[in-house]
Amino acid sequence: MKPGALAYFKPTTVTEAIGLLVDGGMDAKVIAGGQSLVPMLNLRMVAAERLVDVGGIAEMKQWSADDREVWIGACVTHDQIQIGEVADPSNGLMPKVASKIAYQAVRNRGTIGGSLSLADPAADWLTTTAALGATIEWEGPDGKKSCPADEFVFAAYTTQLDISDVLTGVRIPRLPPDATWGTYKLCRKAGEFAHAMAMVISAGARSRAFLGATDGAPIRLMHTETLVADFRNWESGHTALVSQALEADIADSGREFTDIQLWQSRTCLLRSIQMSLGFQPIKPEGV
Amino acid sequence: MDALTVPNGKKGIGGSILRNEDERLLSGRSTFIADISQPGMWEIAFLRSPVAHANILSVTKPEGFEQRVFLLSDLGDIRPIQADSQAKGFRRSDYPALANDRVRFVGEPIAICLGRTRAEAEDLAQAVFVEFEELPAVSDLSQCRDPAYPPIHPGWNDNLFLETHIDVGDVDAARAKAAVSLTRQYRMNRQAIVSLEGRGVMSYIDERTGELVVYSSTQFPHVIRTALAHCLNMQERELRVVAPEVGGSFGVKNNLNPEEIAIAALTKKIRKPIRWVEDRREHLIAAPHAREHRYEVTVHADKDGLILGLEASIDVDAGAYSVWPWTSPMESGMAIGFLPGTYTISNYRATARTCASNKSPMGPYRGVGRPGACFAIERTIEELAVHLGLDPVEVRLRNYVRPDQFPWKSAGGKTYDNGNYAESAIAARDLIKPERLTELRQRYADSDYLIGLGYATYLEQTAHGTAEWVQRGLPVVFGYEQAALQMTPDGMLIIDVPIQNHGQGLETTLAQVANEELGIDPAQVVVRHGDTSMAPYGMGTFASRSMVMSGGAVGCASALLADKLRKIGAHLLQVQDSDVRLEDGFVVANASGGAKISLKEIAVAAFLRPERLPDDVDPGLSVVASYRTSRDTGAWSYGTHAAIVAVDRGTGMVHILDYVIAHDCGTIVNPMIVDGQMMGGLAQGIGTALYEEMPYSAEGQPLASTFMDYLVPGASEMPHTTIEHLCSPSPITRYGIKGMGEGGAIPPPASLCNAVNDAIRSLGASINETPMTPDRVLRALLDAQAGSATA
Amino acid sequence: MQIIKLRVNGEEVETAIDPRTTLADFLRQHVDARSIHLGCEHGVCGGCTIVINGKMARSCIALAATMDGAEIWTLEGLKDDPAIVQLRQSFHECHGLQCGYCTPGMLITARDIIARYGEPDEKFLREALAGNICRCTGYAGIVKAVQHAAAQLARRD
Repeated sequence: MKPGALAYFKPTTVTEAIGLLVDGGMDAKVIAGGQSLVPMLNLRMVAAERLVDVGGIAEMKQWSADDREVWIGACVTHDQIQIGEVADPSNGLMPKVASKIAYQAVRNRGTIGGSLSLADPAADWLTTTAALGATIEWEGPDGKKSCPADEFVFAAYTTQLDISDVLTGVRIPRLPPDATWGTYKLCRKAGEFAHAMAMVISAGARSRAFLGATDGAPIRLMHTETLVADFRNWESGHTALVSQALEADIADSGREFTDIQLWQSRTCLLRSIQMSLGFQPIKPEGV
Repeated sequence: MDALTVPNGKKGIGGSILRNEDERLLSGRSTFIADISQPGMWEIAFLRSPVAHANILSVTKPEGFEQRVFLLSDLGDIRPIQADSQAKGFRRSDYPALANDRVRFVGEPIAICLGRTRAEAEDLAQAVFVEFEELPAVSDLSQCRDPAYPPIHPGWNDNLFLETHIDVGDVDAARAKAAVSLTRQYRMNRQAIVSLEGRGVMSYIDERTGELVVYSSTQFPHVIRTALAHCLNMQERELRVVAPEVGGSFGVKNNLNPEEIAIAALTKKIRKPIRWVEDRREHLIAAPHAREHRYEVTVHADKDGLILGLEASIDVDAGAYSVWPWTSPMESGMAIGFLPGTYTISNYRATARTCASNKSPMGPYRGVGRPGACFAIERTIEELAVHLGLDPVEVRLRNYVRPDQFPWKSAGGKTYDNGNYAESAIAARDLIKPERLTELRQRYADSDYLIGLGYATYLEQTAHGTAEWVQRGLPVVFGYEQAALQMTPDGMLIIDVPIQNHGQGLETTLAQVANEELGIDPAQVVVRHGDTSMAPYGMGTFASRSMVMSGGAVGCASALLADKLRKIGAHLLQVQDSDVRLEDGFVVANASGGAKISLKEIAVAAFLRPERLPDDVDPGLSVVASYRTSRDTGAWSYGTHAAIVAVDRGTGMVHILDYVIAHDCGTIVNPMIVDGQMMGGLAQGIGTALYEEMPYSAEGQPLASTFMDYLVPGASEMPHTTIEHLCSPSPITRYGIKGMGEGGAIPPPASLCNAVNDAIRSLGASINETPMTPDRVLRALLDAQAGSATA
Repeated sequence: MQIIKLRVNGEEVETAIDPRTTLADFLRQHVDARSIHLGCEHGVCGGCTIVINGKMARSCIALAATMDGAEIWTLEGLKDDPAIVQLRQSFHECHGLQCGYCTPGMLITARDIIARYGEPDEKFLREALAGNICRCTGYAGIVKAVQHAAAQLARRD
């Protein structure tokens, strides 16, 4: 289980990286932390005759913040976000999400940009950046581009990135200080990929709700958002309301869900909403 | 888990002493197969079949690399693996070292490709062109006798290896008399085995001895030598087989592998060192698999839950080939033999079918057949109790074989040596505290969590003796072990054994046995194993046999050596032979204030100063002894597991809140190691119950080929666990030891499935299939919900 | 081929490599770092865990080519590290290993857990160990060993 033959390049600027990618065409791939790409290379599920390592591009490892937003370079690792090395625009959501990605050894090398570029539907950052209303930024032969995170993904492993584009960073608006959030993902074991995921930001009229770990892009839940905007506390009667809203949202999305997927997604959503409202459902110790 | 390291002052049998093998493993510097090399060595990648069932029309080697790609026809005159059972009606399957004209499962090796690195070898494997003519793939048990699927082996008329029947007592009379007859169906799905280190082989020619040296990550090097000699038309003296440090096995390294034959044959031909290190994908798809049982069980009982009769139909998918030496009917044979379990069932009628399919061959895995049989009978017992409105432990207590009934000849044809099954059930019940359930259910009544309690009692036949293997019709009968002991002139002890230690702590526990007889500190004893050039012939480590069999052999050899040491010691102390004893590295005179002489001084006399020896004692301190159990039908460990679970109705996840084990493995040599084996087995049993599955597509493609889709339990998936040891020394083994390596893995699917059913029963739901994934549990809940909605 | 220069276990290594070589294979072949055990080669089992630039990482899913200038420690180089010394003793005393194949990765992961969190509670500790598969022990001895080592090291601080 070893990678096929490849050539390795380590540019120091984005422009240089794009040039290398353009020259390589279809056979070139960007590598950052490599935590998803190298397994696929090892398994020979992906061949890359030319690997362009963006880990040497200083600006992509940086981050910056002002009072409106935080910009995070694509090569910032999950661990840097987890431990608060990077300014947090999300009232703690992003560090929490980061701390639940795979395992610490993977978080130490895996990057936010790599995760977004690959666009595995189960990837936490796809849903998180969408929920936070972030902007994804990239650069290619045609210059710099960007889009809202919830428009970035077309389908599983398919994004707006062209073959010679480099995702450079994510721009994340700061949540209002009183905004709260909740998130829940179903993993069969600790650190495993999620089978269902929901994320809710409770911020009045700016409330957002998403399902992740679907068969494609995260799904925005507009009916649910409207509902959640009026929630102040969790009440048992909310369960039926959320279920109705979710069904309307799924119908709007045009996506296919089995009854089991729908049930699990609904559970993730309910638990996310409860969490965002500070409600702790009863559960056995150790669960 | 407090018992793990509590020292009890004992160094011999019964002492929780720390392990001799830890130091080298904790340094990370020991040598596993991937750490062994020879100058000029080539790395191997196997070209493996990408299709489940096909005729091979042609194979084209990459141009310019013809000398680095080898097919079966390039390996000379070698024999295929022929694992023939003596069972009447068994159909044989020739398992070639490399597929020649046909492939029968995805992952079957077709060619050996050599590279200076593994990556280069894989490049070559990718460049070989094979033209296949695809055939329908048998991918489900239901297709076994379906004429739409042609037989996968020549000369067969359907895809059945063997069908066996048991008909004991009078089941029809039992049925007529029964107040209740319940029928249930169960499925235990196919899984991989997953040693953390894969399989691997490195071989070369030792130009000095002329030996073909085969390092293999195997559990039984001597047996592999015998098999390789046969397949390669060699004499055993021309072969040396060495098992280096082995990174876990659990049965998957207990087979003669086609890869071993192909690599040894190629080394013999090209006379160059070559090495194959199995990677995880190869392991998951192409190493032997386990389980895949389906049952239909009918129990006949009176109104008090006394079982009057049992009927069963058992189907096992054994994959494409019969594995050597176990043979393909091993799983179904164990299942049919063990289904009556710990119960006094005297009317039993069952059929067991061993089906062939286009999947990786079924091999032994911790528990072998018994996890499935235990699952079926223990689920059925609880269903019976529920049906009758009785307590499930009480129903078991009414049916267990009683202590005064041993040796018990079971309806499955086994002879149980001894035990007190009721005691284990009561102990488990006391530990799990069923009275907690009401309170737990109240506490979580308004939550998403459903609480359930389940039990399972298991039997673990260990140290199977000659009669057992003969009964099973195996080509090799593993009825004994040997051990060679030698003292060195400085008074230390070296034990050479043909078993293989890969985590069981046998370098420590065999030294403890030696201590029992010789009084030598176990830390001073070296146990060497896994090398045909060191130890006398023996069978290896599997089937929970080494502590009994090899322990027995070491005990016998130690006793012989002790006699000699006492004799020399008495002579040197100038007292009678009968007036001395061995103690803490000395021969001590029994007389009060008795003089003593160290083993070192005795060794000096025996090796370097023979003039000091008595006239009737020969120089040297070496002994070889052989051991077999006094009755050869196995030593029977058993126990009862109990679990409390919380089923998350929002996700289908099963959380284990508490787990208890009350078990009896006879005399315990090292309690710390026994607890470790029990916990390791439990983890694998939980894997079977909740996580591990190797599904195949209708086209015969394996659908789990990485650890991202094949889930094994991690630390978070293991519950709080309490272990209680009971002790009924076996009447048929030296020291009363019983094996116990597999017991932990046998009942968890049953105990957990019983607990899950107890949790979801109030919603009208049930589940009878492993692994109980969130989706399967949720399916059961949603189906029940839909059922009650329409009702 | 590509030239890389890095420090492994305190010693400088400069060599030409095939750029497709994983860091795990490079370290095993070039500096005999056989404590790196390959159990999956796709980053899940944790048997190949080492320390790269001060952070624990999987060597099987890092390419050696990306390691130019890196500082790397394997279990071999950490043999006198106080936490590793204590962990080895605790694993021995608590029966935290059976076949020994997962053990080097477990030790390095445990060292990281203790460095980050001191003495975490058992639930947290088990989750932190989720990236390391042990197929033998059922983790009971491992969890106990890490708790034991954490307590011993905390007492020393």
